[in-house]
Amino acid sequence: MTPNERVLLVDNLGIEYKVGTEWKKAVRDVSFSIGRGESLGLVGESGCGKTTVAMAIMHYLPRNGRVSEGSIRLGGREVEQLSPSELREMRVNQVSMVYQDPAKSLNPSIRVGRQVEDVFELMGFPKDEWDDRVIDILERVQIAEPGRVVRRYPHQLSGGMLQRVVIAMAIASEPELLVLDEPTTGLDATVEAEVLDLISNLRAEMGTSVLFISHNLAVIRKMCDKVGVLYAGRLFAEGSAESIFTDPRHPYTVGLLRSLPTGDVSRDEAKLDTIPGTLPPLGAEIVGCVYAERCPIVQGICREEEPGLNPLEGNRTSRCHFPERAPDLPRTVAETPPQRQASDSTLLEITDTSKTFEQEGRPVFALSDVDLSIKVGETVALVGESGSGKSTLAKVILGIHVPDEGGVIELGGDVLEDSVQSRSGDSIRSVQMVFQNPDSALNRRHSVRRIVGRAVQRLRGLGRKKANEHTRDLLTEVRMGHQHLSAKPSHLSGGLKQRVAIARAFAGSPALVVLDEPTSALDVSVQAAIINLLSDLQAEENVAYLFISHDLNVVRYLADRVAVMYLGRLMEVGPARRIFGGPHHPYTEALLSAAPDREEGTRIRLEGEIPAASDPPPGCPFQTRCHRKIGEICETVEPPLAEVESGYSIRCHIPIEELARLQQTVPQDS
Amino acid sequence: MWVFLAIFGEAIAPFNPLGVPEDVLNRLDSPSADHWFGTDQLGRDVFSRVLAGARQALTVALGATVLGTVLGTLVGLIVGYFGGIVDDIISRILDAFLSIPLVITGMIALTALGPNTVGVVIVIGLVFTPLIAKTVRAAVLAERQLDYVSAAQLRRENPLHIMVVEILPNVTNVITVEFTVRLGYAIFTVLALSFLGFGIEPSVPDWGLAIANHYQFLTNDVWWPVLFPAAAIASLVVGINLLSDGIAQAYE
Amino acid sequence: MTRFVLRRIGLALITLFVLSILIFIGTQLLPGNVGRRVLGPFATQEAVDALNERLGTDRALVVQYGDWIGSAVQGDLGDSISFSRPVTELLGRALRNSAKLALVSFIIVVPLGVLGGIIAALKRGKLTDRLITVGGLSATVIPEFVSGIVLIIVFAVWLDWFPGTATAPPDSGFITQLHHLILPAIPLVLVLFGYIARITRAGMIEALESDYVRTATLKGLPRTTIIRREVLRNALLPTIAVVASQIGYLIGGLVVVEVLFNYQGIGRLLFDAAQKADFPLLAGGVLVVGAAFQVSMLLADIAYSLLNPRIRVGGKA
Repeated sequence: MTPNERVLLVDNLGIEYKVGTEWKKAVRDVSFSIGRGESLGLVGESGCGKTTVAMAIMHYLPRNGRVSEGSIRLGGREVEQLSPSELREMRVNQVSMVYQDPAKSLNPSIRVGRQVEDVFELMGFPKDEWDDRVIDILERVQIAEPGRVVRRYPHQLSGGMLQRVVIAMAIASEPELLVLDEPTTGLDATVEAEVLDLISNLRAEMGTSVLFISHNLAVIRKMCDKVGVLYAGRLFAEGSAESIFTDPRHPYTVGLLRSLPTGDVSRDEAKLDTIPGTLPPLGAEIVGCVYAERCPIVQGICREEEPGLNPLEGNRTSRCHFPERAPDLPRTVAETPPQRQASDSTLLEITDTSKTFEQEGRPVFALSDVDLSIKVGETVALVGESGSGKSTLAKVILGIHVPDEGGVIELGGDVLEDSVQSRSGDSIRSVQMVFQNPDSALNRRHSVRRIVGRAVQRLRGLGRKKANEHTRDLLTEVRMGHQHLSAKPSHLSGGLKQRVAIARAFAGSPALVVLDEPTSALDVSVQAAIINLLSDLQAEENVAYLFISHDLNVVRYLADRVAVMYLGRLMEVGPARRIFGGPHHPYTEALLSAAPDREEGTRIRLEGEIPAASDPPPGCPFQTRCHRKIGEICETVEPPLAEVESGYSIRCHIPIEELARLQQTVPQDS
Repeated sequence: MWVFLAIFGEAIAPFNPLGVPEDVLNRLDSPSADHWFGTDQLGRDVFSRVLAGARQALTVALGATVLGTVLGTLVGLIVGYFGGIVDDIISRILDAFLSIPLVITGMIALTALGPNTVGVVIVIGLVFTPLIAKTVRAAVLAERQLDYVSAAQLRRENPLHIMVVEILPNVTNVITVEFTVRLGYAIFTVLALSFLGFGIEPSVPDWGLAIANHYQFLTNDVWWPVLFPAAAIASLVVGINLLSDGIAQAYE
Repeated sequence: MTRFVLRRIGLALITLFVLSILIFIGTQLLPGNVGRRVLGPFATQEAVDALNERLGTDRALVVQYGDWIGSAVQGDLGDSISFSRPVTELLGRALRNSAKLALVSFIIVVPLGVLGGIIAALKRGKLTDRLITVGGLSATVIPEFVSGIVLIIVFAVWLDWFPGTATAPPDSGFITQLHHLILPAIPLVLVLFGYIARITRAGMIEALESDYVRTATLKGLPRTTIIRREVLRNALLPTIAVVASQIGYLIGGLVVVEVLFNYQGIGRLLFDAAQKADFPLLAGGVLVVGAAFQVSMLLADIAYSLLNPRIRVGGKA
């Protein structure tokens, strides 16, 4: 292959899936190329076909899939025409892949070292070199103590560690092309940042070309030189990352970017823009542009003729009849935010609450001495990584878990009973929850009418007829048509299902709704609609939210106050602006710097892994990883959660002025 | 394809003549035009007895399976939902029951009760209960984890409501599959028991008993009173199992 | 892992304990008292009472139970009423015989079933797969006595390849004994084959479609290596778990087969005991059968834990 030849050339690719007895087109006319050392990102929402394309490149489509047209040339060779042994050779030497779920991607019964060793065996190295090479490659992916890790089984290692192992296996063969399919989805924010950094560094060292697939626009922007936007199996736009993200020329891209909360704007300033409508079903044959029915600038021609991938200036393309109009795309949703009622009275007061579980005889300290208050009508966000205790706190508030002795939770001045069984009807209807996964949260055998109606009956004590009326009202409130009343959850889209879940939570006119990652399972465009809905509902009903999320941008948009949790303790609590503006707790500082949309060079790397909740470190729980640790006091004495400014508390030995100086931020107004 | 085979296999069942013609004169005749399957040791027409035996086998087996399924579902729901100590204790008891093969339990119980059709139904039904309960329990445990159960708890629904209204509809597919599978085994067991001599009264036509009674004549080359009931049993049971398999596949 | 094993043993013991109680209750539930049942309705009351006193069945239930269990643990299960020999002696001999038959069946069916399952999975959807799956299914549901009879008719009566009884003449050599055991083993094999093949097939398919096989394939490993190394290890785990539970069915089948083929195994023994209402023998026999079942489950669980690194090695390190 000559230096100028493309490492990967995909031309007019079409892929079909067999559904029942028919072959349906899942991917159409996709063309792109990757040169030496280049990285291309394929971005799109679920169902757009990005993983399908990757699998086709690797020649690993499922039994009911096939490449129906076009060509995939890897290093000059046509993938579809390779013989089995040539295919194998290609997989060993030319291309490697990293997958989404590292725990499932490794064989649970074989030691990790042996699985990495395979690559060297396949490359033909002599047996006595394998051990050293394995250790060497594990060191390159920055695994500490590779000698120990080599002997472990996958279930003994954490997600971040496993992903490094998979990356090690992938780069061991020094491939020309590295394909990554959502490699950091599901990893904690700080771990994700590390893995992404690792990939960037390796790429720089080895000059590998990269195909990066993700639904996360920020990650793609950070990691890729070029970007391709996929929708319903078609390429809508392609060009440099810079141009696609700063000057998008396709209505879909514009819509996507606008529906992302960016952190500059809060919900009191403007609503998020959304993309109306839904994805067309798989393989639907549509006349004209496939995006026509959702496009705000649709014209007659759009419905008749499908636009080709038209080249635009600046070495980019766009599949649109009117790309020049895209930047001025009219908003789908009016910008004016809903008016909220200000209130100062406390709704929920949590004092000194802890929760300890028992696991195989050892105590697990899920929550320790939490004090938190939520005012009427305000949104408090609970932020933290896995093991932080945020879900446990939510469940304790709801009464699903019973807290340890000594803690008190008060609702509107009255003490709230520990377990939901013993609470009064009034308390129960006042505190409700929206779960993360709508598939699991809605009974799949009940109709929408029943799901919401039952909640109305129980929480309001109404008879069936009245409840039905009320159910219809609720559906209208969550902007859902009444035609869905008799549908079962499996017939509804993710966004609709979540609306049903929200309607159910609001059935009793609650005073507080706990939301556990309500938008994490949803696509970007749907997420914006749900966030807007939640914002509207809060203004209309004056309900308070306890919002749990790992997505800091969403938090910044929605929350009035933020509580940062680590290992079951509150690390920092205060107004959202103050928390994000700084000076911050060192942990918050690290979390914020881990976001993919931060500039280069400001990343703070945390050492080690999150400690187990059954074995918390002595002194400050964060001291094992804190980059601002001041010394022995951090290791021996746990700092108290102190209110150092009005309405703002922090748990750190370093005085706030000192933090301000170290972090060189100006304290924002609280 | 499955359904077709299943229906074909079950074709034997619909023939349920009530009467059993007896003809004491011709004993142990080989199959002939008059008597398609020959006659048995008492001169009765084997063919009719085979057909009559179908109804016998089916009613008993059906009754037992229904009983077992109802009880098993009940136990499975309760144990699966409440978990904890209840689960530990009852599961031990269930395991204990399962340690003894069906046939043996049947034998013992029926020794005491004597030949008694209702007894057979009850005994087999009871013996099936632990098996079905275990399967239902596993399904219930899986459902229990899902959030809609938590949501119901947040409405302070009582456990009965949660078990019956929320969880039960989601496990019916498991129950249906179990039911059809157990039905096959029920027939199997009923006949095995009657073959061994425990179970139904001797006058009622029954395949297992027929085989048992005529087994000794095999050495004299008198094979027909044994073969035909045997073939009937085989095809019926296979038919039912194909049916249950077809149902299971349809659910996937 | 030791903790796991210990816990399993504990569970097995508890289950056995519960089982013994159940058995005991079972025998007591039957109408009438023991003495009456043994001697029949025509014996005099005095004779019945005398027998009851001799057997000890006139004492309080709990005492009887304690007595029974106490001696059982020491290896004494009382005397058989019909055979007038110690129960343990009768059981021992019967168990040995049954074990031989079971072993023969197992040795035939396990490799056959596993192989069948593997082939069916590899040739999924094709004719071979269908044949194996449907064939196995059909074979499973044919009651042993049916298949046994057909086999006897065909192979013993018509073709005369194998003897019609399972009991070889005393002092026969190993081969002759085997010869006698093959025919009775076949119904048992038929019953178990379908199930084992199906579970193996399911395990294989799940492994073949897993993400780690995807990783292995995309690493460039050749298919045979993948199957041998990656798939088999993980696919056979559920099979092992299941095979042991099949022992229950096996024992049930033993009863019928042993009666049919006139073999003095434990199935036959229990059958005779039930017919003759010989309670010490019956109770002891069922207890032993239950124990055998628990032991086999235990062994299976231990084998499983040895093979499954999650249990063998433990949690996060």
